Amino acid sequence: MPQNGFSLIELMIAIAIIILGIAIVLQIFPGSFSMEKNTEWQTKAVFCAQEKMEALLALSFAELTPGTTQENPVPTPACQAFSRTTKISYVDANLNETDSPTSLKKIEIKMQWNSVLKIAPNEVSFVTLFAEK
Amino acid sequence: MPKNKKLKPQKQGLLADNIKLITIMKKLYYLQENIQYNKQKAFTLVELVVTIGILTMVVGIIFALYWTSQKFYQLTESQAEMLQNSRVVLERMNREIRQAKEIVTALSQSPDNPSSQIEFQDGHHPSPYDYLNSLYYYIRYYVSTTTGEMHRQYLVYCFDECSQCSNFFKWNDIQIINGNTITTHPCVLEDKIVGEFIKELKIWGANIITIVLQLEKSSRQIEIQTNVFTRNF
Repeated sequence: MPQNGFSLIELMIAIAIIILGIAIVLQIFPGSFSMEKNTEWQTKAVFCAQEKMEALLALSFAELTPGTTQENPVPTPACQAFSRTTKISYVDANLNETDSPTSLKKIEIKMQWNSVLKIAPNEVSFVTLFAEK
Repeated sequence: MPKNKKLKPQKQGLLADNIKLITIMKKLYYLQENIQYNKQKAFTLVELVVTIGILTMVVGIIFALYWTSQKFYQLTESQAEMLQNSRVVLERMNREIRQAKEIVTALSQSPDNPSSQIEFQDGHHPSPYDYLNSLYYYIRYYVSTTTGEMHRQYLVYCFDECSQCSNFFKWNDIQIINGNTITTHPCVLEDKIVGEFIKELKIWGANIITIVLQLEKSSRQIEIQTNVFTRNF
């Protein structure tokens, strides 16, 4: 007997495929939201790193003690979701780290956070040099 | 073919039997055809109800997905807008406060009693107001509580009326005329909006100035905090 229309099964499969397609397309928006969220974390991290950097730059050369400090979490209320690693070290004329005292110090600040997105970066680092006056 | 077809005069024998058989078969065929035709004439109520049910379900699911995506789109948009505003405002304030020569606003040393505005002497080239040849230009950042907009004022201080002022002074200069002490008053050269959605601005500190910016849009909030080391005091 020749078929005159769709069977219920065919129709249901078609509808299922349509729903699946739409769901995949609409998934973009929650995806973009979490990406935006990560951008927000990145921006906050930059300012939280700057907070530390500016405080260190206000010190004198002698007050910058070489060593690594880990703040997890950062005590500042707006930065509590981050962990902050501050490393101060002596550098030689070729900007290589050295243990012996020189007249140049390097400050490295690394901000880390737990990213929801696996593909997005979840850390930012800043480096600056501080010379003896 | 007409249904009530008159039968031809009876014929005898095998031929007559054959004609009879063919006629009966023909009748049966048309009967069947008519029954089938009647069956296909319209949807039954059950079919219709099932169809509408499935349709409603599909539309419902699609609408729910659409609504969710719209909600996320709006969330993302307000989040991005708040972030852009906070970044632009905070970067600009940082840059100018870093080079400030003097802070006019009396700032608290602790976070307990923060200031909601800051005024300081501009340490950059006062473009496009260098033609005024003043030695003292001032910048003031404040938040309009009604609109939530961040304003940036560019100021000079005068003893004369602002409209005819040509001699400019420091913010705290005084003149004593006939025993009366006269203080300078601010003359606003420009007042521009530099950011939106600002809920609160908190500033404290002395050498290292802490700025906290709270933004709010569509009942979502973000808070950003940073420090600036003022190096020109």
